[in-house]
Amino acid sequence: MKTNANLTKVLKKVHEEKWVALSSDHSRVIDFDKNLPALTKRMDKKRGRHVYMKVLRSDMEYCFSPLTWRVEKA
Amino acid sequence: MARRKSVKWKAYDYKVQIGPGNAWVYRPLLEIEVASGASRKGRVILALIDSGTDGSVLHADIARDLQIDLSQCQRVKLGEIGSLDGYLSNVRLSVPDMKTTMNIPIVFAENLPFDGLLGQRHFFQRFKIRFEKDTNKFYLASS
Repeated sequence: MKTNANLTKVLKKVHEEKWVALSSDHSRVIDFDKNLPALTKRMDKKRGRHVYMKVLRSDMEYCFSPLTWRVEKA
Repeated sequence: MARRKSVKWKAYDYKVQIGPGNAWVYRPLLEIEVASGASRKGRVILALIDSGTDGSVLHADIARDLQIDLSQCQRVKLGEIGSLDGYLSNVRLSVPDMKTTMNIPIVFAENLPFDGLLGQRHFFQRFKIRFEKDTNKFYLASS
């Protein structure tokens, strides 16, 4: 199945910083929520395969630098 | 002379999103399915392939959705200044397109502004990955 690569028309300002459930071809947002478990609970009642995505704010870019991690001492 | 084994590449388009200044930003986002031992079925998410990350990091909401008990996980700290809390847990990660499943440790981080990063350890070890930024395509093949 060919999936939609252009999310500029699919994702709106209202979706930023929220979880969205995309259709399996990534062409539309079916539902969205701030809380992923709440969204998946609703989506599990619907038919079909859904793809979840947390939408980055449009004024932000991915950045590697803060993502170092270490095990915390007990 | 030994014959080179041909590699079967699967092509993907970079996903396009609106970025700073309303510019179009192209990102290598890939569908993965994440599941825990406790959950019957996994969740399909779009994660960023990131060669600059050592391991893989996913949003802690995904762990909660998969009913992973974060209080039982090894705690980790991401970053130094403005650091995030994280939890280390083993999950089943699949790439449906590649029919590949692996059990790997993932750091689940609180308050990530995105869903996840697929890093060098495990993910890049399992696949050959080719980025062609000039055409905004990337390619995966089993390693």
